[in-house]
Amino acid sequence: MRLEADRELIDRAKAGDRLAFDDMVGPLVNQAFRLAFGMLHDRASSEDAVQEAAVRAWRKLSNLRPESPLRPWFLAIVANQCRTTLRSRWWSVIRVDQIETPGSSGFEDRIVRGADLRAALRKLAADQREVLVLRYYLDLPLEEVASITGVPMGTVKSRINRGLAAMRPHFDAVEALT
Amino acid sequence: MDELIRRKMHEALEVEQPAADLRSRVLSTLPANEPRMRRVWTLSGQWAIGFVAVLLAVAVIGGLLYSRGVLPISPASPPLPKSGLPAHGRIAFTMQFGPPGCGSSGHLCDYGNIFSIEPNGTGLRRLTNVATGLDQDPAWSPTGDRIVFDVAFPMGSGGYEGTSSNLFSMDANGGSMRQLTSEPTGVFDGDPVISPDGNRIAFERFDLSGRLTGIWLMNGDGSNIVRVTMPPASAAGGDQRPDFSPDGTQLTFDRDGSDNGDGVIYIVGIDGQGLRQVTPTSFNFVRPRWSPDGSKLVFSNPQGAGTAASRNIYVIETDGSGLLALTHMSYPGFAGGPAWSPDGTMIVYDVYAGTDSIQLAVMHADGSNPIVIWHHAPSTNFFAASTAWGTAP
Repeated sequence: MRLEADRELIDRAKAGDRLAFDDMVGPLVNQAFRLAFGMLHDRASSEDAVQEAAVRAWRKLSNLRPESPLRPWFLAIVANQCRTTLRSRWWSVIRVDQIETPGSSGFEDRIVRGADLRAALRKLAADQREVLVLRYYLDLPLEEVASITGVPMGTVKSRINRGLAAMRPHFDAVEALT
Repeated sequence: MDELIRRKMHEALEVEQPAADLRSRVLSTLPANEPRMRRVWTLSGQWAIGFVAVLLAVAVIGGLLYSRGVLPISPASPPLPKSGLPAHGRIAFTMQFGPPGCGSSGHLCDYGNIFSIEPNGTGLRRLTNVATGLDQDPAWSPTGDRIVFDVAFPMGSGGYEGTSSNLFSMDANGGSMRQLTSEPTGVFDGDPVISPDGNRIAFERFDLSGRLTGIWLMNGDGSNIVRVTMPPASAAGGDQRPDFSPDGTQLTFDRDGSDNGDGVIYIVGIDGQGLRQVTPTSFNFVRPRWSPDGSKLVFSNPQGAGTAASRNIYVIETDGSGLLALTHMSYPGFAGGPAWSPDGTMIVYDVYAGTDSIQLAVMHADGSNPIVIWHHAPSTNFFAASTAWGTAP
């Protein structure tokens, strides 16, 4: 994936060219959704967060330097939007749990298999959940996780450490079964 | 374990995929107006010209004052002439390049290399040369002929591949590079230091799963690795940044308790016995460096993530008495990463005045006579840190 935004593309987007903006941000939409779903655990809210983040990115284009990595810049806006959503959404646990009822096959089986881990993730502090999703679901290197979250590398490491420690009983159980 | 976590996370979260039309919906929801930056140009011509003129005047006057040494690096730290600086030994440090502000608060730098410079600010040499990786945390051998350091991700790989870090050694001029450790994904070896007899290397190991985290010792060739400390579960940041006592029998290090990298300074025997706390738990301190006479530790407090707290350099007696601030920088400026000169009379450190990139400075061991020994051209964005002052000629 191209990490640095094309200078001409940015200039065109800054001048109001929507197609140029789509060329820049469009390839990142799927990854942005995955980050949002990892944070919010709700499809509709995740899509809303990505759309709102894109609008904010459009308005903040002047902050993007031509040589700056594009992905951390955009995902940081998505993460920030998710934090805003989390702060204002007291009902999320109830709503997500409603979809995690036992199923019999196919898609429902997958939902059931991941339910325990999703429940464990939701119990984490938002900042720990965020770094775990970025690191282990989006498969991003730690440097980029630090850039997206806006904290030093050491803080990222310790947040991952704390998050994994809290979820260790779950992973140890999985390891014992596999 | 790392792979298991990744697999289970994918399994748990891939239950939902974005709608096929999400990308087109994103584009359709953009507001009709142009991006906000265009509003800058709605200023009337007269106001715009006046504004630019004022900016130019401030920049020119500021540049003149700075180039003549009139502007201090902090209100309490005016620069002094370089003529009073020692010319012996060399200072090794990491220089990272990238966008403004990179290297702090999670902003990415593009790459980093190790350089050395004489304490009077002359004779800058590049010792490593990578374009995507990060070579950092250099430490000298007692004789000044070798340097150990860590590489945040393997040299030669593309950027954004930092999943582990390993220890390397090289000659004082950057030659004869040798890899000492080779860690799997999720394990980070860093901040190596060489024992006073030159035979052992102490370093930090941080394991994302927590199992290997602690201070470790090994022979100079990377063999015979043994654990020295095992941080308690409450120390999520692990034990970090060790340094040997001058007689080589003890290590000092910081034990980080929380997400913000706050640390408490400890001393422990190299056999892992006799652990004792040196600094109060109520303060946050990191990267202790033992004075050559064995009586003191110098260190700094970390810059809190997302906070307006500044960072300064402190010194304390090894028995925990006499805590004293040597610098008094105000946010957003800071001073950190201190290291003693070989004779213990001076301290080198990195300093940020709040308006420029991070620079190298030295001061007397009591905090007096601070002076910037090297700074960059204004158009270059770099971040200098992790200093070490060796005996190399």
